[in-house]
Amino acid sequence: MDIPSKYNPQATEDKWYDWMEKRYFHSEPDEREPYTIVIPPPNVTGVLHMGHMLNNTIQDVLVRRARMQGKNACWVPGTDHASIATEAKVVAKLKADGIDKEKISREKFLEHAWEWKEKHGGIILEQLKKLGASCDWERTRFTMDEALYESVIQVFIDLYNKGLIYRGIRMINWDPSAGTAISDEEVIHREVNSKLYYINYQVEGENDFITIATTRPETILGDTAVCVHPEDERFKRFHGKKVLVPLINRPVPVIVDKYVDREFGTGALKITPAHDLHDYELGIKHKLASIDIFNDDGTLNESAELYIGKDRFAVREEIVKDLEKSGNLVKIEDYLNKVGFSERTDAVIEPRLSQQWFLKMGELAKRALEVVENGTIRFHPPKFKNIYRHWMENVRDWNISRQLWWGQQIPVYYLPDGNMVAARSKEEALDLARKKYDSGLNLEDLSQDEDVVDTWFSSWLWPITVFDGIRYPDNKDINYYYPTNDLVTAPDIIFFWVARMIMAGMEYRNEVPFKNVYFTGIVRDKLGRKMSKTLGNSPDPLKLIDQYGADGVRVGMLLTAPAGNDLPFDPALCEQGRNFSNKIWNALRLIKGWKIDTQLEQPESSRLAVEWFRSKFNTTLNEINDYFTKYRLSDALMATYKLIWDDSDLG
Amino acid sequence: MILIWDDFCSWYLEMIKPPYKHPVDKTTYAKTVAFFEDLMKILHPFMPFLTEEIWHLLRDREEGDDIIIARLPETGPADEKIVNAFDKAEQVIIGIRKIRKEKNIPNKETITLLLKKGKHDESMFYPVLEKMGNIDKIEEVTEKPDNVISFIVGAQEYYIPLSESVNVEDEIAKLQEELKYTEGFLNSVMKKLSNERFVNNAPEAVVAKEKKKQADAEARIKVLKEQIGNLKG
Repeated sequence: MDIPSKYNPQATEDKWYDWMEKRYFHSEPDEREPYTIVIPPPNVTGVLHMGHMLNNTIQDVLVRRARMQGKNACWVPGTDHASIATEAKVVAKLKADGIDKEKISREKFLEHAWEWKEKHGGIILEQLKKLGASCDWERTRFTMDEALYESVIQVFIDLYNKGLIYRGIRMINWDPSAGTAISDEEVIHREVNSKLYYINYQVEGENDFITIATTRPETILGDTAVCVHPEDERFKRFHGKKVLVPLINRPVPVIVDKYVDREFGTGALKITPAHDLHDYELGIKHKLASIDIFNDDGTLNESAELYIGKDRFAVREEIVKDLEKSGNLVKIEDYLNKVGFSERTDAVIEPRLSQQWFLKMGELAKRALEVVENGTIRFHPPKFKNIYRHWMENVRDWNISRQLWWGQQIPVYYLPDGNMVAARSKEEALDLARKKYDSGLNLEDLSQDEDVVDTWFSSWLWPITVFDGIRYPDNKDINYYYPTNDLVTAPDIIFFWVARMIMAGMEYRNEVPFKNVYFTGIVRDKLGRKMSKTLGNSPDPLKLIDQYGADGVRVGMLLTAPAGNDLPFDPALCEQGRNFSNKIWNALRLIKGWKIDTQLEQPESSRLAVEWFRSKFNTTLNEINDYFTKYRLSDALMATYKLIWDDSDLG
Repeated sequence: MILIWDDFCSWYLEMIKPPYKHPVDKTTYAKTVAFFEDLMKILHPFMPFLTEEIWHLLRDREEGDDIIIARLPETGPADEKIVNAFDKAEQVIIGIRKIRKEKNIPNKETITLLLKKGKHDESMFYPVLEKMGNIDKIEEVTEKPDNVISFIVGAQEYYIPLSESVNVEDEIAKLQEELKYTEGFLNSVMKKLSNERFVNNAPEAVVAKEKKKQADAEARIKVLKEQIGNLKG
């Protein structure tokens, strides 16, 4: 046999993906023990980044190992419709084509969105094949596939009927850039350098002033009170009086509440119930009016009286100048504070009162915490248990409605009198409404809620819906593959996704969705910085594969990826992976170059060598198996590597 | 100095490699291919493509005999005594090679290895030593002979007789350098062992290992001092 002098990863990798044609990746239930992983579904229009590379390499290692242990290995791939991100891309694309989302119908918009999905969707899955991912591609799912869509609707209706989903006006996090409410978990709090503005409010009918401090002077137009601590001597003379909101001279009461921190600013607070969570709660307690001064896009509306139609940040600058002119501005100080940003769009979040749908977390969270606490689900590394517990014990109800079109539309139908029913279709809704409320109703009388559900409200069902276990809870697949074995995920979606899958699993299967959760590290550059487009420090995974071969890149990623720790990625590690391939190739060439003499007796030295290596191999194999049971994949690879070729510097 | 460097590509293959242009016996060849296959199996989950390619180049296979669906090797018995004895043999080989390099003794030229009577765990590997070190015979002696160059593995002395005479001054300088190194090494081990936090918190096996290092280094210092004393006469 002629063996080329150099190993050629490209040719080899193209050739061997015919594993797929041989259907080695495909799984059907049988009598063997199942080993199941569901992929964390990447955004359907996304492209592969280093985080995916790490995450999917780990999954593939686990799946291939299970397959070679004789288990029935099944790795289910798929993509997520990613409501906010995809809708933003489609809106931008339409805008570039001169089409305004507001001017077209929901149906037309969804046509465009599906078209976009067909065109750009699934690229990432093709990229995963290049990495060698041995997914059961015949089982590829998409969160908006009919079966999965229907399952989401069914679950919504079920939870609604159980009284766990309710509609209410609450202070929510408004993303003015995406034009939708988002959940608490989707808000990233960052410290920023702000300014603290000291502003005088004149006492009504007197030549006396009370000074407040605020970081958001533009919101004074929505003020409905000023609040001081009841025992604060400095302000006792203001008790029971009214003060005038600067520039618009609206009289508002001075109220007292122990909530006020006397040390902050001047000790007197402006109260804007419509735009601050704490103010909102004080507003309810003291029965204050609430004036919402913002439009959906973050510009000021008519209730503000001034600066109507201008953006909130432009108004901040303008109003400071005007307050200075009017003599209300006392001073400005530099100030470090925490501001909430949207996880998706990076826009500054606007706390806002809004009518939304919520899912009660109480009982769901309790059960989901229990199965982690009692070890039914194990976290690797275990330190994530504390973070999980803290969140689960302090969780607030989940805002599940989004003011978007790309997603599963909320299956609630409103009647003309304000009553509502939840149903799979308008026809079903009509039946229900006629029975429950008014037998004279017609189809035209019903209107469906315009919103869609949070994307995570579909992906929290993923381990069940990929096997169609919501619609057909007793089907062969779900009974065989569920609960899955291992979940491999980035730690930043522990609440978005991991916790909620556990809730859904307990609610709908009465069983955990997976037995182990492996939290990968975050891939950083070799200087420890997070990889980002702006820094330009994120290598293109496909180029790396071209350069070092998929095997080389896999080894490069895993050599420094202990679970849960950040991974300082250095392309030099891929080079080490490639060199390792070459070393093995040379060993093959050496052996294949030998002539065999069947008459020749085995030399004693060779007999001893064989005996030694057998013991050495078994010792190391025990070590490797032990590492796998502890999910120490880097160590398992390192031990394998060193058994084959120890190139460590011997000094 | 304690080096562990035993692997398939560098050590095993060299141990069984037939002389240039000579054939290999079929037993060794079959075992070697089997080892290679097992190694590729445990590597497959990490490097799927390369291992599948090697799998098919190693020998002819039936349709469907692919590594991706092969069974991982089961762990078999591991003889710790063999592994430890080999570690020692390996040190001796490294010692011989170092001296060949220093004294410019070509690898082709056979040498004789003398060793001081004592506990030699590595004795089972003498045939391997002979091959890897190109040694014509291995003999035990009770005293250090004249006109030899010596080296130490663990607490044992090994000698290689030289055809030409040894420069005593050079030899003493070399031994003293090694003594200095070993004393420094002992010092660092002692530091570790005097750290209560380490001794109380580290796994027992790790502490035992450090204690073994201490004993080895102490024995070696003793031998080195004796040798220097002998040379100074």
